[in-house]
Amino acid sequence: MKKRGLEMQAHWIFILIAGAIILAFFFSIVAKQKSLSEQKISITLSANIEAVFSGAIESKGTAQLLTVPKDGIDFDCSEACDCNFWIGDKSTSFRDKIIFAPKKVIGQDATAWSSEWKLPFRVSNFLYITNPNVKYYIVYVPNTNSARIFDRINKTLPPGLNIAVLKDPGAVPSIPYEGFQETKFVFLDVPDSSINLAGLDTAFRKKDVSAVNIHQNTITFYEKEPGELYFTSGTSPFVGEALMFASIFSADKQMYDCGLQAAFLKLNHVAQIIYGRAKMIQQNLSLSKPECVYVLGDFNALMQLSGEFSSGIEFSQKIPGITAAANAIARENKNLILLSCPEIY
Amino acid sequence: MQNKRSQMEIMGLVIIVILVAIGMLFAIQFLLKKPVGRETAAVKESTLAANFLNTMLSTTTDCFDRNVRELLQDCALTGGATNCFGMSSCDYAADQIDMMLEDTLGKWNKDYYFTISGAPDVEKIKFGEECKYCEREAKIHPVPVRPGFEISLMLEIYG
Amino acid sequence: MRHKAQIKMFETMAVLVIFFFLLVGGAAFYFQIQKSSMQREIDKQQQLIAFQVVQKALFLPELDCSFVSIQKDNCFDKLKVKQLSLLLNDPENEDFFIDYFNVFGFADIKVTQIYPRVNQTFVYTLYKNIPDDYSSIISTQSPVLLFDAVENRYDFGIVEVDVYAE
Repeated sequence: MKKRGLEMQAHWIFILIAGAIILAFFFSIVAKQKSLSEQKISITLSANIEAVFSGAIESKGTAQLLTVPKDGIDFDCSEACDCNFWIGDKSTSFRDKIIFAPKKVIGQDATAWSSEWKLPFRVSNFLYITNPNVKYYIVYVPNTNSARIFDRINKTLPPGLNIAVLKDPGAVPSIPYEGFQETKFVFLDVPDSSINLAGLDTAFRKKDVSAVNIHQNTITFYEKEPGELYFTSGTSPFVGEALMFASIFSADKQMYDCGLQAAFLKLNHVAQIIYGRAKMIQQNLSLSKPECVYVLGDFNALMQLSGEFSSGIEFSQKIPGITAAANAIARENKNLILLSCPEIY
Repeated sequence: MQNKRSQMEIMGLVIIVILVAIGMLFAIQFLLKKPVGRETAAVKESTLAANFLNTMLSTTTDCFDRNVRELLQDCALTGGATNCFGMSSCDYAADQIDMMLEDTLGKWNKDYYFTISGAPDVEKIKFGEECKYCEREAKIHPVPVRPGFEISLMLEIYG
Repeated sequence: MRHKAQIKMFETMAVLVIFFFLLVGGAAFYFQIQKSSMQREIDKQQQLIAFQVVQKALFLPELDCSFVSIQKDNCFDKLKVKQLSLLLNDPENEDFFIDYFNVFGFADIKVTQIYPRVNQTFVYTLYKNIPDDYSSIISTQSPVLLFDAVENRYDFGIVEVDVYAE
């Protein structure tokens, strides 16, 4: 009798142990598979989104909606200008694309808008990404240069952006926190003394807030210290409308500066090619069309300055030089058109 | 005892049938799947057809430096009045188009069918063989001749 | 009694053996499907990358034709092609070549004039970077207009892009 009792218990213990081992085995397989699947999805999504970015950047002037993955897309540029976008744990480099986007795009569909940068010839397209979770407050002063900049921006920005307009910089501290993931104040040539970000609603203290102040050819970035309503500022140059928009959509000064360097590197390359082309045309037409004279001295300045800027050398003081060279090339090009000569660009 | 045994045997058979059915499901799924890259190939062929027509129409010929578009417009409007090296603009345009098709799609062993519609003189320009039941990517490119009158170029690439 | 116990033991062992056979068989089948699915995904991504390289080549600002600052689509300026080719193939200009690796990766890009047929054909290797080992080549040809600024005419050309997958 005793033996039978023991046999029963041993039988059940055996079943429990064997069952537990089998279940543990299958659970571990499932967990491993889940992790592998998630990685596979991240990799596939990253590749697909990169393809979407490539397509979007070529369709200049158009804005399109992008479906954003559930966990969002993170954008980041390191100090060495290693710029990546992240989907889950998978990071993908921007490579040759010049992208300006907030730190994180999540929730609603993103708007991808591209614009070409010319100086004076087409150099590159920039891709701007944002979504309705980012609130932009555009602040300008009526009847000043500020209003002129506002008109330009208002005509050019695509629809679907979450924008509010303020005509008084003094109204900024009274703006309540509305629950947006990120808030950006865009001041249009507003005197620095009129900007009071420290006086913002205390609800903004732990939230993502930043600002830019767009001047004639520089941009001041205001970045908030975490947990405080204290902002540090830094200045970067800009030349051309496309870079002005870049500062609005850029996550921070670092991303903007990296995009700026990449843009000037591209300018250097394109300038070398156009310069070489102009010299070849000059050689070919020297006898048949002697009136077609190509004055290319300004290209040297353009190539030299763009080469310096692309390696990150402090360039604020030299921006007028590059603008002057670009304008001179544009005038030269116009003259050649009037003479029915092949254009420089 | 006998009942339970036969019941268990039936259960065993049922499990085997279920496993075989699942296996067949997987096998059929794979057999019916399109080969990889077919979707990308379709987009490439569609872009190829569109790019070919765009490029061909803007190409300058040696006939008074007119491009193919202008020659076709002349052909549609006047029946080929312009003289290009002893040929009508229609024949000359057809010749140049044939050359471009042969040196590209022909050399790449791609079957194609090129036609123009909209005017009797241009409708004579046809190259390749139509394949009604082949997988194809086609592009139609309208060319205005004058207000209210246009011709259409169609290029089908079979793959 | 003893025989009964032994039979029961054998029965249990047999069940376990068959169970593990089925498990291993199922796992092998599953992993084979996974491998095949992964390979399809890799091939698909490679096609996508190749397509992107072609699009980049076709829309390069370095090569575009523009008139009074208006860009003409699907058009390369012949002199720009020549100049870019010279710069990219200049052994003393390695930095220039490295910058374009970010754009094209491992690829071979050639521009050839098809029409008009001339004695001295316009053929330029724009960019060539072939890895030592590669698993496949994805080739794409695309018609493109070639603008001659000196003669002011458009020729018919082809851009051939071979993308190498490692």
